[in-house]
Amino acid sequence: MTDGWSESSRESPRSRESDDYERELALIDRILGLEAQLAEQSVDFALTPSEQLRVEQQIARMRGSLTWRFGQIAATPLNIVSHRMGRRKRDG
Amino acid sequence: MTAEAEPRVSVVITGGGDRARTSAAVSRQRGVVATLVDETTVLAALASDLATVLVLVEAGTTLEPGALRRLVDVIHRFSAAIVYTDSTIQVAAQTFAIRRPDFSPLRLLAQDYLGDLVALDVEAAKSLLLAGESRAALSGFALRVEPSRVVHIPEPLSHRDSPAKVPALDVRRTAVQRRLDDAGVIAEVDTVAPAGVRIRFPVVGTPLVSIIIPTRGSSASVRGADRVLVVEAVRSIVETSSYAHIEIVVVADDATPSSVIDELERVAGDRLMVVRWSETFNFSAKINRGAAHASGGYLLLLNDDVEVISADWIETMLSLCQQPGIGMVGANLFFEDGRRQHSGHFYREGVAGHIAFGWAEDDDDGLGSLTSDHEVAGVTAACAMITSSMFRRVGGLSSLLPGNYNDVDLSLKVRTAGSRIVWTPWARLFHFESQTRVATSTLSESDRLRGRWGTRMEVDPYWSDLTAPWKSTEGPSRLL
Repeated sequence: MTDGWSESSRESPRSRESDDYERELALIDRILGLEAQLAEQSVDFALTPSEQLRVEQQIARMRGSLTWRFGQIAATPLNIVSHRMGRRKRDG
Repeated sequence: MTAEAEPRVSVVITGGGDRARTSAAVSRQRGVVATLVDETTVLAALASDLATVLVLVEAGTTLEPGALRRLVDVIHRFSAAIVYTDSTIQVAAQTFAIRRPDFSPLRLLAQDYLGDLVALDVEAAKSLLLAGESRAALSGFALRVEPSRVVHIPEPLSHRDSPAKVPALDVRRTAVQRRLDDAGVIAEVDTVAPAGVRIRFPVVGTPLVSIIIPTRGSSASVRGADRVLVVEAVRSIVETSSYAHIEIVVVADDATPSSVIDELERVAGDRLMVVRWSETFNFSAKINRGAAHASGGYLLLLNDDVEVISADWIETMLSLCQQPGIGMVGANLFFEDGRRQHSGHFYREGVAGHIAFGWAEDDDDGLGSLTSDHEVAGVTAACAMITSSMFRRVGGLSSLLPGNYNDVDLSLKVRTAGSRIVWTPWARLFHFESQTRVATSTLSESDRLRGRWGTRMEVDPYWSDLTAPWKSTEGPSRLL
């Protein structure tokens, strides 16, 4: 594809209006994107009741998985050490 | 220490199945005081009883241990008016899960997907019953309730040994027409072979639809013959579509051969507008440029590697796009070999995917989802209709996502704006995207998508984790 087109009777040329429209879209997108990122960091996340139940089911499924259980077993010594160190610190 | 009183539940067994079996299942329930009530005297029973929840269960259904208590707890926790659940069905030695969507109003118009086990808060129950209604009217009633008060428990709390008897087509058609009338929706109901019901919404007016096609004028082999993709896409639009009030906005790279532009002019005539793209590749920005030059109140985003199958595809998408609360509409796309390419998006565990990808055309899930207009998490920009006002309101496609996930991002922006996205099986096109295409998304694109929407892509409200279709040889082909 080397013979690119040079002109067409049906071509709609760029205009200030169309450029402004494109800039407006980009600006709105950035704002909505930042709002979405902010919402991602928010603790107060608005889930519908049905979505809450789905998330709870997903967590329950994860906690029932072999991977999670093996992970819990593997992490047990570390948890004991960390718990004891925390207690020593508190006791001074 | 005094034990907390167990909640009281009134249970009505509906339908004509095995009542003794369901009655026994109810009596085995723990954690509630369940009283069986006759359907004809339920209102009086509710008035005199202390029950706070009415449960409707289809005869022949058995219940998971603790199911009634779970229903009561969810109703009280969320102040829900109506609660429904997933279920299972046993066929021969196999158990199939029926996963239901969260509240899906467009789907509920055409399809009573609430299932065999539904609980109502007693006030909601009285409202339903005072109007002299029964289980058959429940889905219509659900459409009148505040959406957040219709709650789906995504757990299989009821079981059947055989599919419930599906009502005759004319009965279903009448029921759908009645729901439409109750909801004040003007539409016609068609029956569709083999067992489907389709709602046909009328197109309001004859608005201009701007079809935006980004292209670089490339060629590919389709059905064994080379073709210039964009030319054949436009030819199929012009020759196949029954909706006439369109403009076709082709956003063409500088490198597009002049012969392609000439052919497009010849094929589309006055309906064609060509917009030049001279910058580096950015699919999103190309679509946005097309939108900047479009005049229509409705934008139809379209890839150049498509071919129209159904003549009324534009009317189908337009009439749905005109329904209140619907922000974007997606189409039913097929690979060249007839297998499914796109039946809506699902977003789960941070990943986006195509529903029923690669399934045969007649494959479906247990609810008959693929033959029903319904809400989805998102749709592909390969073929999507959106109002120009909504497109502008959400900032179009994000140019920060030049090649991938821009449609996922657009879908989530539209839903965050409070609108629903709908996929329709009745707008059918071929999409000649390579079936073996290796995703070439950059890390920055996936990072950006996750940064914006990661949490909201964890659970999909409308599509279950079904990865394989229901096969009629293995089990019931559908329940509804």
